[in-house]
Amino acid sequence: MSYKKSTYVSLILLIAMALVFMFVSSDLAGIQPNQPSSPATFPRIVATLIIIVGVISFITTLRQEDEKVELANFKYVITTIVATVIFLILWQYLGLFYILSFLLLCFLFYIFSNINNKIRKLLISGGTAITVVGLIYVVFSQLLGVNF
Amino acid sequence: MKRKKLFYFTILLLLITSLLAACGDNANSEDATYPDKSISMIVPFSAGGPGDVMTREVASIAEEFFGQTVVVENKPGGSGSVALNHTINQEADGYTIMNHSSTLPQTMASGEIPFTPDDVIPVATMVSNYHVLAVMADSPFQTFEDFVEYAKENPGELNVVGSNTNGANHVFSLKVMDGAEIDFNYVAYDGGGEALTRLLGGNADAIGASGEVVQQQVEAGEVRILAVSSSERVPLHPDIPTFKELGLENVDDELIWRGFFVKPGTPEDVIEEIQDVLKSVTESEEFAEYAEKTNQDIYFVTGEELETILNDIYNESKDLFERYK
Amino acid sequence: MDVFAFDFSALFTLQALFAIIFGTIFGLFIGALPGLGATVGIALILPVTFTLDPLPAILLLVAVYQCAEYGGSISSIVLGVPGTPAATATLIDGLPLARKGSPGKALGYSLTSSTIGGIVGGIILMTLTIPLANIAVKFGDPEFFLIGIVGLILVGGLSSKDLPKSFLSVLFGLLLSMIGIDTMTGSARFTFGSLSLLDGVSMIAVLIGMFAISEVLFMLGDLRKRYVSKKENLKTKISWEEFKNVFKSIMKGSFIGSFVGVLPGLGAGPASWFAYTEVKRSSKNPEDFGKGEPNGIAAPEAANNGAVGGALVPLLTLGLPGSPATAVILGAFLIQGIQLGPNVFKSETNLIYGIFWGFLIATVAMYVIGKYTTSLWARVLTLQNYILIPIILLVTIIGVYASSQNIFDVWVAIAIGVLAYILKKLDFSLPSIILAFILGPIIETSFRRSISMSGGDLTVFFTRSYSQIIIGILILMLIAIFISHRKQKTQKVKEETKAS
Repeated sequence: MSYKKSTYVSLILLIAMALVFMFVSSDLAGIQPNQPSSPATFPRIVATLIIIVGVISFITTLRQEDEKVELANFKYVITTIVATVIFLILWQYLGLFYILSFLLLCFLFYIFSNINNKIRKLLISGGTAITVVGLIYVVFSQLLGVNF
Repeated sequence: MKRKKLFYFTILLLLITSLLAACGDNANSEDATYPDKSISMIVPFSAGGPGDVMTREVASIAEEFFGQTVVVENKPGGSGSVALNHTINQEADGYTIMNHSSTLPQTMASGEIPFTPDDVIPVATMVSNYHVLAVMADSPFQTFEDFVEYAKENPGELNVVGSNTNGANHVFSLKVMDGAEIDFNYVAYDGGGEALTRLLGGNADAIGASGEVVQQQVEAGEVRILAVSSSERVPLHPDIPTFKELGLENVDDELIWRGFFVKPGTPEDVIEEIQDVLKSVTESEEFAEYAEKTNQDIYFVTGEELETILNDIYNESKDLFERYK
Repeated sequence: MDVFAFDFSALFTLQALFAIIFGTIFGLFIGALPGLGATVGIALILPVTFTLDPLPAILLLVAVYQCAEYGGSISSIVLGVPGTPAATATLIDGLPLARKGSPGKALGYSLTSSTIGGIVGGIILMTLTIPLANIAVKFGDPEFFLIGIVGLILVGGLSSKDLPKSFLSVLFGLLLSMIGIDTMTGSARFTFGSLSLLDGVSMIAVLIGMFAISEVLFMLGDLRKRYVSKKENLKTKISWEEFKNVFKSIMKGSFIGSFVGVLPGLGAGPASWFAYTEVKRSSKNPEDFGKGEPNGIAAPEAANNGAVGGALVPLLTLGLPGSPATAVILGAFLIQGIQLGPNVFKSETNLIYGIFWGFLIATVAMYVIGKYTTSLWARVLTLQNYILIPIILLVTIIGVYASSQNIFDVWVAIAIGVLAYILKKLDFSLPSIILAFILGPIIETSFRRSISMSGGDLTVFFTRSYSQIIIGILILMLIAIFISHRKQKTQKVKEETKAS
């Protein structure tokens, strides 16, 4: 991943976000017309500043030398994010928090582990996961009354 | 050394478990009539606020009358709409009871949340408090007439602080403006305490708040109440006139009340059962003590009377918000 | 009126001492759990106080408050999961120090600083309550606006090596803080129809997403790492030499915390960040900050506990809660039948002095109990990364959910976490985003209220005596930042000429 290219993308996204806020603000400007400021005043100031500083940052980045951004173990990063997203979707629609979190932990332990024996790996992952989930159940649900 | 550590840890665990065991849930009994399982009371505010404190008080007394556990759940957010949304997504069986205040129809009227009074059934109100318009003790306004006179000569110049926009204080201030035919600047803060700070610091001319907010400062002689919003003079301040006496017919019994709501479609007999329990709660000694300590009055209204009150607040606020946009 | 004429026998009852000790343990425990901070802790324990006498009841809550503020740093340091804005400031140096293999030292710095901060806050509470409250109440909206601006300039000017990106981070934080219902008009802004966004983007979701979830993704880079291999590194303690080295930062933090804590609406979060940036600014080696610098732990930790004493000032003298935690304590006073206000010092002298002394005892209890229990938490770091990462991930999810009981907030946290992972790689400043997000609402609403009250007149920010003092401080700080930048530049030039 190129540092300069990623910076350009992030700046463009940030400026786009500022433009959206600017655009939405126009609906808010008319509220309480007899007050010296409206709900739109601050968003407009901030959005304008983002556009100005964004352009300045664009220029300073142009002058910098490019470098490579290291994303270590990127494959695991993606796997973790995807697993978490699936977990959240299932939790939102099914409930079953404790079962799902057991599965999430089990899955992550399993793929991160470097034990060669598959059965042993599965047993260790499952065992650790059930201990952690059990502990969470006792502390949050039983002691503190926080229900998931 | 190791033993010592173990000892501390055991004590820690023991203490926590023993005192928190009370928070655990109970098993259900096998009774066919309502209620045959535990009841949830939903609080649309964070834990520790006045609405939360009242609900927890009610829950602990009502458990005895219901014969079931009553669990209090906080669902803060979205000016109450998160809790409301949760409530109307449950079964209409009376096992989910939502706490809210007279602010609910006002926020509905402002369009701030996408709900109307048709989305709830009010079960009963529990406590109420009157509004006051108050100034600092060293303010040039000795009476409400002084205040009105100045405001008439200098429209829009006086700054009146209060808690929140589109809430009870806001509506009250608008009604005072409307009734006295004056114009001042209502400035909203996050809570009555913050608004009171601005008054005490000399940064505002007056405060429009519920009586409990200014009570201590009034007793200390720092703050003077100009008028109260109840229909009769209040026993705590027998010398202070009501707005009604002063000719503001529209500010009559302008109360902030707290009560309970259920989802539309809940069976009549279940609602009646809840009403009976809540009535017994308001008649209990513990609840009377709570109301006295928190400077509130017990105010039990149910049924059609309450529905009329709710709809009146909604319509009146809607009209005010449109006119004073 | 004499604090020392207090009848101590009221304090040394079985009930009062038990309340303090139980409050301490409970506070440490609840503070250490991510997502559950002082406010939730106090609210959870509130029903227990109903049956107690007034003094033990309030002491129980005050002890929970004090210890939960310290306890928040435990999950920050050990897991990298902050539960409060204040604990996030501790995380920036506490986490790296723990990860270097010395979690015990990091926790030791934090515990010692918290204790001293708490005691300084307590002494200020005992001696200056009434004058401080009188000053605090005079602070109006123009002053709050200016304090917010001072904070933003400080953090924006100091935090990143890339100045435009650092200011963009500040602006991005401000933009995030504007989502939700506008307090002034009640109109929904930038919520795009979502009910869950009406109250704004959840603070805990932002904190945890930005620091904990992004950190989890970073940790994936080295799955075999084990942060702590030596058991003795788990012990919560620091040496006398190490203590002397951070003493100045502790004092700075304690005083900043106590005074900022007095101001309603600001409290522990901004206080910790102000203390952190101030210590970093005045440090001889600002480049060490963020890499495990002990002074970077000491200052914010002393500040957040100093702020506890500070926050009790307006509560006890005026009955004004300046934070959600003190609002719950106010509720407890009401339930005990005590109306806080100007008269309470006369009518309830014994109770108030009992609270003062009990507050100090609770702080000492926090040190003693903390010393022996916090190392238990540090044990987590003896696990290998591949076990630790999934656990931290699940704990972050639980923390966010427990704070609001809303899955929407968990989604927000995950999204912000992924975003922060990328932004950090690109040298944007995460602390700037956070501080702007915290201060944004204060700055905006106080600005708009100020000009609403002045009828659109902008001179209100310059004509009031307290505003002028703050503007003076602002100018001094700008000069100091400018000079230190000049120094760094000339130093760089010198080094370059040497090298060539």
